[in-house]
This record gives sequence, C-alpha cells and structure tokens, in this order.
Amino acid sequence: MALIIEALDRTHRVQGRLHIEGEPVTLGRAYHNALIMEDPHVDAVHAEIRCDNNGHYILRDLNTTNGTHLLTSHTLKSTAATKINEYRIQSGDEFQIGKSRLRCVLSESKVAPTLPLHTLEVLFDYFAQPRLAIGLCILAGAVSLWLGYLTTINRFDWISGLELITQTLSTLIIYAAFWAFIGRVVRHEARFFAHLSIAAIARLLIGSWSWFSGLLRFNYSSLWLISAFNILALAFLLPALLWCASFLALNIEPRWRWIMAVLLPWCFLALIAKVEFDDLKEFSETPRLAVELKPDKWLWRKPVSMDAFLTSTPALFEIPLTEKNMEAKPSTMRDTATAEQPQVE
Amino acid sequence: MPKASKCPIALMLFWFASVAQGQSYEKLYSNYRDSLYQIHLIERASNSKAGLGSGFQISASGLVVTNYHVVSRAISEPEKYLLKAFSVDKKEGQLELLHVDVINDLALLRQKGEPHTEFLQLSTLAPQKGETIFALGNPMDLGMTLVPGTYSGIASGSFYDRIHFSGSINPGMSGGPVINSAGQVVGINVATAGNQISFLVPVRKLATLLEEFTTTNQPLETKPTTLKSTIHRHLINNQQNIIDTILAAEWQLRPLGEAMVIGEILPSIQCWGSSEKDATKPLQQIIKGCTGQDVVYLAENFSTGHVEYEFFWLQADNLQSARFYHLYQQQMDSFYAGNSAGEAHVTNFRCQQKFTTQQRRQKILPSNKTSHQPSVIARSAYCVRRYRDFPDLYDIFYVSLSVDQSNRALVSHFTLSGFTQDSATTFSKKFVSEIQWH
Repeated sequence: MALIIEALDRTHRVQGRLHIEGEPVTLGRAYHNALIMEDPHVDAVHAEIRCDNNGHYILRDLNTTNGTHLLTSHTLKSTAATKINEYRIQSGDEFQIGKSRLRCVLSESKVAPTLPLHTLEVLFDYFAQPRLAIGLCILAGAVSLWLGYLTTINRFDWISGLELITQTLSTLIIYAAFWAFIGRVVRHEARFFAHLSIAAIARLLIGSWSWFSGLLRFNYSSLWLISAFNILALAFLLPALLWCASFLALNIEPRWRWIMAVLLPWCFLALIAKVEFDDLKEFSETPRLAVELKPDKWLWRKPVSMDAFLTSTPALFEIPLTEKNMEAKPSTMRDTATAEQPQVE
Repeated sequence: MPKASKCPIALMLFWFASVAQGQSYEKLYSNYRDSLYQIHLIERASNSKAGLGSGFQISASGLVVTNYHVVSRAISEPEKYLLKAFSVDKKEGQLELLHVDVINDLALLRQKGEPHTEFLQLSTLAPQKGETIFALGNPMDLGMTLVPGTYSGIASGSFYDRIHFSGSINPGMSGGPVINSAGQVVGINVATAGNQISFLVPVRKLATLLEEFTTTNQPLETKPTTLKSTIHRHLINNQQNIIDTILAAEWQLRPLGEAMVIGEILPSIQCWGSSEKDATKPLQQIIKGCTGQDVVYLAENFSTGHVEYEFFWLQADNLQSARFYHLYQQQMDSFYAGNSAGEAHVTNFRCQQKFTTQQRRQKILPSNKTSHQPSVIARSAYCVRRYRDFPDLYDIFYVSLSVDQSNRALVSHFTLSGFTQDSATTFSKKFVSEIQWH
C-alpha cells in the first residue's frame, strides 16, 4: 500500500508530494533527502519514514532541534499537539515539522464525495471578468453623478462631480477589497472582481429602488406604508448581498451561509423598523406629512377636486380622546375635584 | 431792569413745577403702595418661589387682581403650587382663586383672612392720549417701583384691545396696576415689546370680569369644573369673534408670481413679504405671509388663538424639471403649526393628504372665446389636532403644494389654532376659493 506524504508550507499550501511504496525515506532541509523542505526550522535530516514488517508506515524523529508533533489524527480524534518520537502513521495524520506541516494519506483512503458546482458559480465567474466589473463600476459612478447633479442646489461644478465619482468608486473598491481580504484570511479565494461587480450591481439596484420609492412616496401618503416598503426592500437586498459575499469569500456550509446572510440583516432591520415605527407613534408637535414632490407626470393616482377634498375633512375632527393617553400624560387642566392627579415633572 | 427781574421768576416757576411733580410721584407711590402686592407662585414641596408677579387690591373685601399667566401654574397644578401675596411691608397672605379671563390675561383672587383696608379704585374713563400714567409693580424682584409713561391709545393690529403704554414694563411687573394721576386704575401691566413699548389690558376688561364674577359669585377653587368651563366659554366666544370678523372683512388679494393670493384681511393680522433672488442660486423664491399678532396664553407650553397664512412662489426658469422639484422639495420639507402645544394639551395631528385639482381662472381671448386652461394639481394636506381639555376646539393646519408646472410652483398654507370645526370649515372653503391662478 502506497503512502502519500504532502508537505504544506506556513500558508497551508501543498509544497510537494512524495509517493512511497515501502522503501524508507528521509525528509529534511538537506538536498539528499527524498522530501526536501525549505523551512529553516527543520533539521537537515529531520525524520525518517519506513515500512515495518506488518506493512505499517512508521515515522521517526531523528533527535531534532524543534522536534516533530502530531497535530491531528483521524483515528485518535485528538486536537492537542503531542510531541512524538516514533509513531505509526494512520491515514489522514498531520504532523508539525518546524513551521511546516506534513499530511500523510494512504493511497487507498476514501476521498470526500464530489461537490456539485453551484448554479451561481457560472454567474459569478461571469461577474469575475475584470472588464464587466469595471464597466459596472463606471455605470454606477455615472448614475451617482447624474443623481448628484439632480440634487444639487447650487451650480454643479466638475470638482463636486469628481468628488462624487471618487466617493462611489472608492466605496465599491473598499467593499470588494474587504471581502477579498476576508477570503484570503480564511484561506479561501479572493475573487476581487466578482465582489466588485456585485457591489456595483447593488449600488445600481439601490439607486433604482430609491428612485422607485420616491415615486411611491409621491403617490402615496401613508408614512407607515413607505417605511415598511423601504425596510422590506432592504430585507431582500441586504441578505442577497451578504449571501453572495459569503459564498465567494467564505468556505462555509450552505446552511450556515443562509443563517448568516438572512439572520444578521433581519435583526438589524427589525431594530430599525422598531425605532422608526415607535417614532411614528410618538407625539409630534408638527404634522407628519409625506413631503415628496415631483412633477405631475409621475402621478398615477387620480386627483380629487379641491371641493371634494374639503368636504371629506370633517371626518378628521373625530379624534378619540383616549382615556389611556390621559393617564399616561396627565392633562394639566383636568377636573381636579374628581381625579387625583399624578405630578407632572 | 424789568427784563432782568423777569428771569429769576421764570426760573423759580420751573423749579416749583419740578418740585411739585416730584412730590406728586412720591405722593402717588406712598398713597397707593399699601394696595400693591407681590404675587409669589410657591412650589409646595420645596416651599420656594417658582414664579413672581405683581398684583393689586380692588375692594375692601380683599379682592386682588393679577395676570392669568402669573397664576396659571397654580390653576393647572394646584397640588403642586400655591399662591401668596406679599404686601410692601412684607406682610404675607394666602390667595384663593376666584375667576379668570384667559383672553385678556386676567385673574381675580381673594386674600384669605383679614383683608387689608387699602384698595385702588377703577377708573371709568379712558385717559387722554399723551396723558402721563404710572405703572406699578415689582420688576425682577428688585422692590416695588413706579414707572411713569404716556398713554398712547389702543394699540392697532390686535384682536384684543391693548393699551399702548410708552414706558418700561419689566418681568415681575406683570399683573401690576397702571394708575392715572388721580390714583385710579386705568390698565393692568401685561407685556412689553422692549424699548419703552409696553402693553396694558384696559381696565374695562377687568370691570367686565368683576361684573361676571359678582353675578355668579362663586369661588372657583371650591368648584374646579367651573374654571375649565369658564376658560372654555371664553375660548369659544373668542374664536367665534375672530372668525366672524375675518369672514365679514373684505379679503384683499395681492399678486404673487403668476397667482393672486390673500393679503390683508384685518389690521390685527399683519402681513409681510420677502424674496430671495441670488445670482448664484437658480431658484427664485418669494414669500408672502400674514400672522395674527395675538396669542392667548393658556399654559407654559400651550398657546392658542393664532391665525396665520403664508404663500410661497418658487420659480426657476433655466432649470430642468427634476432639479427644480428636488429644490422645491428641499425648501418645503418641514412644516410647523403656528402655536406651541405639548402632549398634555393636544392630541397628535391627524392628517388627510391627497392630490387636488382646482380650476384656473379662464382667460378671455379677444374673440370672446375662453381658452381652456389645464387645472392646477396640488399635493394638499389638511391636518387637525384636538384639545384634550376643550374637545370642541382644534388646531387646523393646511398646506397645498402645486405640482403641475415643470419649473414653477405655488405653496399655500394656513394655521388656525383653537377653532371649532365649523369655524375651520368655513374659513377653509373661503381660503381656497380666494386664491387664483392666471
């Protein structure tokens, strides 16, 4: 039975593989070893692997400076690193030698079942094209420039335009760089351009949503409805964004990916919704009105005549004076003979 | 020689005159000082003063008069505050509340226990314009003072008659009397606009209050519901008076941009205007507004009786529609009601917001045909909040923002505070029907 020895460097990448079939081998820094390691913390001849009479492979430390440690063993299930002198190798064992690692696998060992490619992989590969990513970024920059132009009070000069574009692009780049970095940290993939494309698409989606929600705010007056719609839109967009990012950057199980992508933004949005709706319920000295103004070509509701508008106002006057409110906030000019008034601070 | 002998006599006459006047000030003060009081609003828990004002006695039975705003907290929170009167010689007495008139900011009280013998007579005649009258009171707790000034008639531009007094009234003198040289009360200190411009409540308002009290003759403290209903009745009558006067008056229209908007209705609702035209800003804005000068004070953060209307014309000739509307929205993103009112006094505003259409005025063409003008489309809002203590009174807020033109807009707004539904409805109909577009 053959044994495959994989040498992993400090970044856990396979540096070299050795296939042995019974003959004893040595490994170390010196050039006469069968497996030459580039780690300065490894002795010139560090360890020896040979096959005993029963066909088991034995690893022996050759009295080295930094020693040899067993890191993980599939059979022992131990996680604590133990210093070893002579050890019978099981398939899947990992050893620490200097700062490098050795992974020993028997050629008969089973491998994990093949993971089917996620359908979105194709899409993400498409997004990862630098040309597409840069194109989308330019489009997002142009859109923010256009929106910036429309919403500027004073004359729009090229410096503020430049500022806007830089701001948008740097936000997108920082987003992509952040996830690419995370991908590196967890030793997955960087996929910077895929992240960049997704960020630019998200920016465009947010832009078009805010335009559309502007139309909603213009056509409808219910502040509750508008807040709810905005939160609902974010409740879809944020999980989608986080799901894509975690899919590309993290190598976690699909279940956890979903939990992370959905739960995190929803908790955050629930908090925002609570604050916003509580605020709408609070007493306000000023009238709460929808203030969106657009030219009437964007109006899809049928206006009523001013007379009809005024005729429907009497219903507004029937405001209940709830007893509950009175208790919570004692009116200061109540009938003092019948009620024991709590003091007002 | 004869010439030389005249001069000293003339000089002596001046000297006598000034002495005589000086004596009369001193005499006035010393004659009437015993009828004056400093009113202390005392917080029961800490037994320390929470507010100060002045007051005066008007009858042998110990009736004392001051401003409503001096004693309002003792009315709204009787378990927290009590009222005491301190005479000039520091004698103290507790006060009980008898009657109030919130519209004219007057309160009638009585000193418990043995009343003082000194009191002031009320004048039945109004002073002559230019006549010297004397405001008495204790400004800023510095001690009782006498401030001479001139009677300048009834101030114009007010729903309620107020005497314009050219003399200084300072905080703490509120509720003090203003007497003529005969020592009769002609008014009550109430407000100041700074720089020797002060306002007094004419004494006939006090006479009316006194009359009302003597006919019912029931101390309010024993029956607090009467107090609320008295204030309520005054507020209802007052808003009715205001709305009747407004509707009876001729409404002047004045041009604003391409529209005709409402200008002067009554002298008591003063109009102003301003425009912003800045070369660096693409948007031109003209504002015209009118505001009632009087507010009725009810409590510390609650005033009412306010009438106000405003119009904004916005125009930007060389601006894309989208940019114009963005600027327009920015200018109009917050609205305020004209009066202040806290949660304890009013409900939340309840609003109705819709798009409305209104006919433009038809243009008469030379061929005697009328051109068909598209109607004005506006985002209009009508908001109402109810008074907790006076459930048939409301604050009404209206705003209408036109959206039918690509780079010009008219905004019209009014606020009425402390009006009934009927008054509000009548006013609203008249208001929207008066505005005209070309």
